[in-house]
Amino acid sequence: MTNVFGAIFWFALYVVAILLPLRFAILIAPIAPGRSFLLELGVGLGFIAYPLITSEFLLVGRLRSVSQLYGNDLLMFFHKYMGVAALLFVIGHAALASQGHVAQLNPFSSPPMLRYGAWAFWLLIAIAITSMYRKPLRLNYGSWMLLHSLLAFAIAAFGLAHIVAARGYTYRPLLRALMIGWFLAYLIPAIRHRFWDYLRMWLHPWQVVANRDEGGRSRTLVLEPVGHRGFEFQPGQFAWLSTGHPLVTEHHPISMASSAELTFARRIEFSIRDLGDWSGGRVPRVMPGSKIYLNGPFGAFSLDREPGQGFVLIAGGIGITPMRSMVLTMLDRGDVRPVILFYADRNAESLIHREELTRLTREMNLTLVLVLEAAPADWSGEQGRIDVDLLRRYLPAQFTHYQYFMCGPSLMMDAVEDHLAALDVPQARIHAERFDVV
Amino acid sequence: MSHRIILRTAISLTVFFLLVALAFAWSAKVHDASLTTKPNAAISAPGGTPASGREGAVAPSAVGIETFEKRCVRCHDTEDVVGWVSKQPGDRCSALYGFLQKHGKAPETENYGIAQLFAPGCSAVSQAPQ
Repeated sequence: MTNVFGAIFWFALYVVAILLPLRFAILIAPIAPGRSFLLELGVGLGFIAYPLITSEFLLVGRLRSVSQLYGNDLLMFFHKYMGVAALLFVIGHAALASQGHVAQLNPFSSPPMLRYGAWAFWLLIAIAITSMYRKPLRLNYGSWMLLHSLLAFAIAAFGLAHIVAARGYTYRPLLRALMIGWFLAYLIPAIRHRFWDYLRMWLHPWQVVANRDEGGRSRTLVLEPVGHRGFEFQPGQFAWLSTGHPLVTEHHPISMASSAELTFARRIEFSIRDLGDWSGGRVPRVMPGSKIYLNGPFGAFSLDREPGQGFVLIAGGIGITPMRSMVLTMLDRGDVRPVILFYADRNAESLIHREELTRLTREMNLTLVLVLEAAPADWSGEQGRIDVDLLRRYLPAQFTHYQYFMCGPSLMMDAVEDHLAALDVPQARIHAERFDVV
Repeated sequence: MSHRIILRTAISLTVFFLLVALAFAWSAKVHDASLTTKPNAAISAPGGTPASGREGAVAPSAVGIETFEKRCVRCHDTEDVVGWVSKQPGDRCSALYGFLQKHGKAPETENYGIAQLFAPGCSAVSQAPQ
């Protein structure tokens, strides 16, 4: 995170803004005498829960400025954890404010002023369940994204209706305006994203130049901008990619796999592994000449943002794609700083870009360490998993001055984080990007 | 950044928010207690704004609060009413009660509840409903 002061400032502003409605409520509390402590606590939890809910959209990494300040990995986890916090606060609000009258949570029979709140409550439960159990529920990513967006809008709208209709503390115009302001803080960026960003994508199409089979159930789409100059990016960043009309088709976050030093044609490559549904069904059928839509770049996962003596790149599976972009960019720039690339996968057939990476070890200051879980008999690389011993064998003496980038499945990332901590690599030098958060 | 650090940050923030909510409830309760127990304290009108000029501690009428919230707050802030009442010469309760009788079509019980809520000495209002 390069802009530390900016990141701290915006985080502090987030906390203050979340608490602002409660701060004003304290000034006018109590609204009536004789209200119990638990009832007031329930109201307090509600005043925190609503800003927490409506601020969630700001944390999903769809806003470029926020995404580039904190990085997608941090944002997605924070979004997830604060979503759970919001759910707990809402449950607390419902339990305490209803004072044991469980029937008030029935959205069909509760009084009008509580009905909207009851709807928001159950929809929040639904959004939590579908997010935590997307895979067991067999929801494909595209359907889940659409459902998530619709539920989020309904929760924000019903929540506001409940707050206004309840006319407790919010009979005060200032407090009511604050809560409406929080609704708008969700609605305006969401609408801007849904319509303006998608319209811009539609007006700036890309053409598929090639759709290469890379082996390992992976394909590389080579794209070229049509009638525009595309966009510049930093190696390691990602873009949202849509293989159909951006207004009606699902979008997928995919890392750029090619060099950030663009050629005259300004082509960009994306390597995509078959992980089911879209990546296995739609991507292999994308024909050269067809249109694709991009929204990017996003993210802060880039060596351009982290100065260091050298770089250690740790990739698991398709997590190799941002690393490839970093390595190719360094080659194009004539960057002579040392790079050690650990690339782990299940078996030799799963490795992609292997020949190219091997060739690059001769053309630049790159050490390639291939690690297979199941290695063939004639395998000359490493076998097993990336662990402390393996890292020690390849890291140079001054390894704590290097920058560490890792991308791969969550289990591998958790383990590598522990290994790097055991080696006393400073936390500030470890940068991560996960692709299976949901 | 390690996702464990993010988790710790999120947990700390959640605990902090919970403490603030507890402080809010505690503050509301303390304020409530001070309004209903202190001698010569002002009475809390809907919204917690003290109604000026009252003598002694009297719990405001539940009917008054309910009626005020039901009928008045859409157009009138508590301060408006308190300010208006404090400017009335003589018997403020009668002034407010008389105004309410002309102002709307609310039942007498409700008018009396509001008058009792905002003006001192309302028990003396001759027109008070039984």
